[in-house]
Amino acid sequence: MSTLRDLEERVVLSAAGATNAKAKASTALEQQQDQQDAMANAKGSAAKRSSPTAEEVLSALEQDAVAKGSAKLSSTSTTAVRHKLPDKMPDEETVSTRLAALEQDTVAKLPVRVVNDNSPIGGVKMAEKAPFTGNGNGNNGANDVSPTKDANVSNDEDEEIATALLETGDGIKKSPSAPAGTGDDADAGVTDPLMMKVVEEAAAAASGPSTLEMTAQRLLHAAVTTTKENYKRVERFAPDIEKDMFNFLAPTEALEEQVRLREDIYSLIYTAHPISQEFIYAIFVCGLQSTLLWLILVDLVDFSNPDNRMKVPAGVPVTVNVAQGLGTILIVYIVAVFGDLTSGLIRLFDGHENTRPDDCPHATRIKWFLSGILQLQVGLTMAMDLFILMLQATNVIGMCLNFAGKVPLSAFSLYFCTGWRMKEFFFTLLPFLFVFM
Amino acid sequence: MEDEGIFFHPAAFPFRIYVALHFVQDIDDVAFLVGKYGFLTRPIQNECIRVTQIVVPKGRKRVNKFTRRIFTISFLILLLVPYGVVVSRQWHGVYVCQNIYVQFGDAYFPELGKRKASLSFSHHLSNPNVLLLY
Repeated sequence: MSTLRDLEERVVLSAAGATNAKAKASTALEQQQDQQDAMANAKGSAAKRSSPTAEEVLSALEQDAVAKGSAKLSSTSTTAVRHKLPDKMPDEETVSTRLAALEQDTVAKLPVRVVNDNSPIGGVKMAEKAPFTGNGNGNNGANDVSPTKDANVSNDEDEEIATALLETGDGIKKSPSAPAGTGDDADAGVTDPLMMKVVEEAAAAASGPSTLEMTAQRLLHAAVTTTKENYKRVERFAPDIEKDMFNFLAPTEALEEQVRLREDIYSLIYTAHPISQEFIYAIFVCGLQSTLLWLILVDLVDFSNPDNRMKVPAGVPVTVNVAQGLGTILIVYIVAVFGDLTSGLIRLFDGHENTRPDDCPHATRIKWFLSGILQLQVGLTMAMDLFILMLQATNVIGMCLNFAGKVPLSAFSLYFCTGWRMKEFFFTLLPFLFVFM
Repeated sequence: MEDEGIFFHPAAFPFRIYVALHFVQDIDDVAFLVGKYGFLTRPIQNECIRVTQIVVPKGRKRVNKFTRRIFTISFLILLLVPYGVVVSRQWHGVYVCQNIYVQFGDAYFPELGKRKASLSFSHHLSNPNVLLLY
């Protein structure tokens, strides 16, 4: 429905601009010319942005009319608009032929629309033929009630109105039953309460499409006729379909073709110049982290005892073993979510795209795999440390606890990594202080 | 250690190591943010900011969710299997001290001063322990 609303807004905007120009016209040709000028003046650059979807709307409406064989354009017709534009735009003759066929096929089945200039939404209103057509006083201007009409009614008068509608090339047309220049007086009969009651009864008794469907038909028809006028301006002014006014119809596949780098030191290794302080800083931090992890690992493992290199304690109770099992699963969670192991693996498995970005001239293939390997080894070392620490008592871990295991500092690192504000930081810190202090 | 709270309780040891190693794991992220927020030099800050804004073309061999799940499950198996082996060996007493040598005095019985004792354990705790005197 949002698509329908957007379409409605655009049609109303375009109809408003066209209505002002059409009031000055005397013949259909002049109306069309003036309308084109008014559209060009009113829309300006917006016209070139809205035009690329002309083909979409036309094709969707044509397919819908052919498939259904009726004028009922439900919300599915708006979803049918969501398809990709053809690579090659058809020429003008093909478009004219298709438009003519579309008009003959669709408009004959569409309910007759007669539009008043003094409409509150820019002159788009539905006409009503029976039962008070004989009034002849512009009673089609039953304000917003807009009684519906059977779509299959096709007599001479309807055909005339439809033909006149199409000649103007717009869904906005003055009622032929109302004299020209008397648009303000067209709603005189509506003020009669009896007539209003008749109009409401006729609307209630109508067996045609619902008000929503009629609105959809009206808007789509107006869009078709408006875009028909602008179609010749499509190719000239709007070659870029990504920035058009109907961009809600355009696919966003182009955004998925690029990915952002992960914000860490290893991305810095990938993008920075090899001889620069930022690259050296990244290598230094990576080496610091890796060295610390390897020192922990070497300290944890006892190579002198071949029977028990991991220094696994004996005789631990079953509760400790259960806690170790839970901790092992937690290791997987930590590595999978936060760890460098998964990131490094993905970085290596993704491979490097040879088309490096323009603003990143130093992002080479070697540094891509260098950063991936460094990240992978850090992640592997971290996983091994976690696993061995899980199975034994430690010595180096006491050192880590001295400067990192203290809860405030750990929460401080958490605050840094999550980018929380100071308020969340203190609220996070508060329960830890109560528990551990 | 009793006055330092539940965090330093021996039962909380498996969770304490997470806190410690989590800090070590966050060193690179913290260092990146330190550089990004301008605590270091200006070129480092500019490069860190540029990393956050840069987009790279999508690789052809993009790792999808299925591959990530395979990574996770494989890693879980790689950790759970050694864990099961270690726990099994613990329950079977593999890591228990195998031999204890005892030198008795001759205060209780004079003959014991001439002998040594070797207490050996089998790998199964259910089996009777063996005391060898020689």
